Amino acid sequence: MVKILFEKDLCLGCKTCELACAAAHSAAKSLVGAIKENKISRLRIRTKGGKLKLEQCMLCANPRCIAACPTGALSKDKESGIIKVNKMACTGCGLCEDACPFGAIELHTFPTMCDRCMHSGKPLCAMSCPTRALKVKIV
Amino acid sequence: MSEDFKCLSCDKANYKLIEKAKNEKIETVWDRAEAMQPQCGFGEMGLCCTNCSMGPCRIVKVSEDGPKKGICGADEDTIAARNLARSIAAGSSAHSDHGRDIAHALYNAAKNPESGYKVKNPEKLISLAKEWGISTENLDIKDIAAKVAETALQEFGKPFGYLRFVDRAPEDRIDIWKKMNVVPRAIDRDIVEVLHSTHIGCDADYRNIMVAATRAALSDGWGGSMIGTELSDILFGVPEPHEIEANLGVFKENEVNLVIHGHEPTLSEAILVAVNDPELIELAKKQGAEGINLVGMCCTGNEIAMRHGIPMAGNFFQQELAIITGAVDAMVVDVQCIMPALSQVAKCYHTKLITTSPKAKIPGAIHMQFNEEEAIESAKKIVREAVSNFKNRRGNILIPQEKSKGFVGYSNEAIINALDGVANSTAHPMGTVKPLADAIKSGVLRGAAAIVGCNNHKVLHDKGHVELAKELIKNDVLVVTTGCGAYACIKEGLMSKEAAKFCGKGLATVCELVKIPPVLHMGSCVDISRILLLLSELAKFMNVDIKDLPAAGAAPEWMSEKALSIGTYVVASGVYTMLGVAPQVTGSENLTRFLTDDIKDIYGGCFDIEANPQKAAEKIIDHIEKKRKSLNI
Repeated sequence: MVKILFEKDLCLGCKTCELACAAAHSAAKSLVGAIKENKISRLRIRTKGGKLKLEQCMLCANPRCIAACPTGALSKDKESGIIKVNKMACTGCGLCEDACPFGAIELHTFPTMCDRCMHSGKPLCAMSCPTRALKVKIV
Repeated sequence: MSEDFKCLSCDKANYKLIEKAKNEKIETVWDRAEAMQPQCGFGEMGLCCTNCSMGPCRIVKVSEDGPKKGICGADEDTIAARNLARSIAAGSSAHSDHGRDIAHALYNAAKNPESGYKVKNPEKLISLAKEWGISTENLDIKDIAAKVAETALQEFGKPFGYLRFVDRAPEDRIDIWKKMNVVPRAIDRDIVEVLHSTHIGCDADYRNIMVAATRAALSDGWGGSMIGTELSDILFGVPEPHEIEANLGVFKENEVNLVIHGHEPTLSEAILVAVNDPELIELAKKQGAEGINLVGMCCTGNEIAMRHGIPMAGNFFQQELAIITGAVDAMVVDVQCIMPALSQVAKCYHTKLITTSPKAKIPGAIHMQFNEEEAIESAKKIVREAVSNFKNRRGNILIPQEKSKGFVGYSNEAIINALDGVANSTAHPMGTVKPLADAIKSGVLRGAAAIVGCNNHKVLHDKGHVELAKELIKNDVLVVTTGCGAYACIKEGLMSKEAAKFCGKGLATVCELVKIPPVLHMGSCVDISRILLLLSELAKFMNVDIKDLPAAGAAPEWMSEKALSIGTYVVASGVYTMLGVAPQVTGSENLTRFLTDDIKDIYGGCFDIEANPQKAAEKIIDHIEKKRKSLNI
């Protein structure tokens, strides 16, 4: 399983990770492509009560999003632990978004959450972070 | 509850309007500031460089293996200094271009009767002509005006020599500038030089970058801004003290409300003539209005309040709220500090947002170009547009009750006039700053501080200005103010006769005798040149340099590049300057130390940073007392 650790003391809030994420999930694999294709970032750097926090899928052992889904559209990949969406079953109701305690899901027609960049082999958010505030840990 | 918005502003007039905006789902500056969090730390520290397309480059200080140099090899000091210098150059260019427009208007007044501009103060014109060595013999006022305007315009690009107004500074000051090679030469040239030297592969020494930046800033304060102020006084009159009303309560339900917002009095003065045109007043009445209510916003509001007593509606952070009242029939804008957001807000109401300058168009606004060559006719067209919009008013109008009264119009001439009131006409010379110097020497007044600058979401709206001003006057420090700081102070009642109750005993006595409020409104942001001249006069009279005076500057809520230029020329003129918001330089420890410490040994003034107004006041008072001690007073 690929864990992503967030060292908030190192984060400068530049949001390069968000840009890299959107680019990584675009067909063009570029920032311009992401904007044209309307791709969103699957993680977010936010402030809450003046403090920085990362909103990203934590690969929970017992995901509340899956429990909340009324149509059984969400499932957990046994090996990688990432949440998969069955787009045929998903009705876009947004209950998963509400259920996630980490604010990690955003409804963008379908639920969108971090897939640890399974398609490219390494999480590009962590790779792009200029301050190394995001670190990859294989567990 | 509207009281919930106390955390956003300390002006009660704003609470109801922010609540109205929330209810009507209209986004304001505070919403956008919240959505912007977190703000990028690289930008905040000045460590992001986009000066060439090998970049963007960023210096990473928080992790050991992060890059410590840009691709070209520029380090944190170079990058932060280049970014700062470019901002200062942009600020200087904004003020100076304003000055250039006023000079063009003066030229139009001389050469082009259709412009409608006329010289209102020939005495000041003749005195400036003499100062500049322009022969006035056998010339009528128009010819002198043309010559003065031409000479002023040459200050922007003359190939040799240095700026004429430099000679107004105390000799010691000019010597320091000469030694540091920062004497401003020609305004455009000094700004261009900053842009050149901060180009990829040019100046990499942060101290030398600051030399060029300081020269560009001085060409604003002792150049472009001073030309703007002096020529505006010649054209539109020297401000004199009078009482006016301020805050969003100045709108009138039954009249056409026309807000003039921006900076250059060339437009606001012409609009003022147009709103008094009988034909347009008649048109307003035909639309069902009782008249035309012209009010000012931001610095152009300061200009027409100072000269004509036009009410001051609000400062930078109140521009959207003005439209949200639903009572504004037109907001007419020119240049600087006009939020592009206005066009979206205006769309939610009947308000017409009218842009007028070829330098500042806003998508969604109506563009009616203001032509200085036929200023009054242009202005009438604009006012007609506003008047004809009165009938389109919708319901849901909320004009706040809050408005304050206060005295504005303290040009240097007006201050000296007031001081003459307490001078002994047989024993003392008239028309000097002697009474002010005496009050400072005796200790009745501990010193003087200027509170200037903008609004910034990083400081509670208006609180930075108001609390600092109150704390200073309580400790017998006379406060002068311009720009958005002036709005904050007048709204709080600090320019009223009753403001004496906030003063220490010494200042209260001075205010009573000289018949002035404890906080003096000296004008718009270009009018900080008035403050420079007042300091200069005081220093010359006391036979010292500006840096020796018990005086300080403060910009508690600054945000603009112009403010950076002002801060730099004020510091280089020898003034200790307190900032409520840190400039984007903190990524370079060397540059930060240079600006807050090393620079003191060069110019005598330096920057200091303190967000808390109480602590800022303590530091300013401490500085003033130190200066008093050095002067043995």
